[in-house]
Amino acid sequence: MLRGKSPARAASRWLVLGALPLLFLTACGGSVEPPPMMEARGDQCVEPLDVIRKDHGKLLMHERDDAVIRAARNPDHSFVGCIDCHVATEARHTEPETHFCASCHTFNAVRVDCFQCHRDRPSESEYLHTLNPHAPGVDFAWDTDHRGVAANLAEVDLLPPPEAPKP
Amino acid sequence: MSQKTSAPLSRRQFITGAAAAVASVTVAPGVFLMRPAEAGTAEGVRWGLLIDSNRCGDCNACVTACHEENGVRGMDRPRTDAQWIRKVELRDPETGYSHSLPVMCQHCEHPPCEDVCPTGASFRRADGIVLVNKHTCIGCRYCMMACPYKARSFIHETLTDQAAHAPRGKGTVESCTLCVHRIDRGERTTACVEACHEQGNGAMIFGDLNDPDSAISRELAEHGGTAIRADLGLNPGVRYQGI
Repeated sequence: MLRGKSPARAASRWLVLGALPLLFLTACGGSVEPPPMMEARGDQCVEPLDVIRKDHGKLLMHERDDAVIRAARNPDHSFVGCIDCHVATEARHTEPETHFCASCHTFNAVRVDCFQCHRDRPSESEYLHTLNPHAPGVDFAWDTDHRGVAANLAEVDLLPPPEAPKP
Repeated sequence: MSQKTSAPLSRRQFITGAAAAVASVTVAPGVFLMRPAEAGTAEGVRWGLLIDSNRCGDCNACVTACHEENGVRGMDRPRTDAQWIRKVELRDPETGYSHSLPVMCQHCEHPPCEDVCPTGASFRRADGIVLVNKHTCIGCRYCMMACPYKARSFIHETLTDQAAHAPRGKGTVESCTLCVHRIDRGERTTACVEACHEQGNGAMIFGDLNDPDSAISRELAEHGGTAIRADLGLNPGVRYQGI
């Protein structure tokens, strides 16, 4: 004889089952540690921190064709320059915990294939960017107090200044 | 304090100092002001090599230097190992006279590799250097079939420890770059030519074929030179004497 299910019992079971993942998620919430930002040589990045963090991929992607095809190499956005400053000499991209790029890419589940061809370690390269003379920064600190990029561009006449009110 | 004052200065340094080659300027996060980058290739130049096979002995200095410079290492598998430059032995069966000469990418004016490339990865730079853009190379190897000089190699295996200036990776085709990294930083010689003068017999000259006053042009005007398979009409940038 089939045993009838009591509706109350079924409901409580579903409640418990539903609450379990919620409890699990709540327990995990906010506890994911981002990978530690590895220290770079030099005292300043080539772009403000928020720009370079968000758009380094775009910069490298846009300018690589100019560099390869038209030989218009921008030492400040050079791939080799990034590696020279940021990656430790003994780092390997196959061991993400040692490698500046790979640690963050792994954390963010980004898979780029730069290092299938490009050297993943610094080299004695001549393509140094103009801001950092590649001495190890004595009191290294990221400059987070940067000014607006547009303001800087206007300052050096790369962007038109705000229009003066017409008489 | 010092950081606050130095940051705008450095920004200006960055923008003015490196602006010559800047392709894009970040206006705001995610917004780029794209400007056509000024080409870094020298105007009206065509780089080339002149190789005197009468002087070229049986040394291997150019091959060693090239592969050392560009991080090309063999895997003891001669059939598939990459080869950017190789020594070719010529022997006249009638007289028995034999001599050897280095053969590398001939940097044609009308490169067949460029013609057949389905992705445009094989291309000729404005200064005459024929290169593979490995960002777009799909490894189909049509160019290897098309090249009459057998100058290109395919990378069959995963590589590590590449030279920083010569990215190389599995699944792409590669060949002599005429030491493009040296040319782009203003040097006017290649690894093979340098080695030939230092350790070899001084059989190679690098220079601008379009400049009538360059050493290579003067030598060509005085003693002439031929291209390998000149009948193909590819007008290679690498010329030979004594073949």
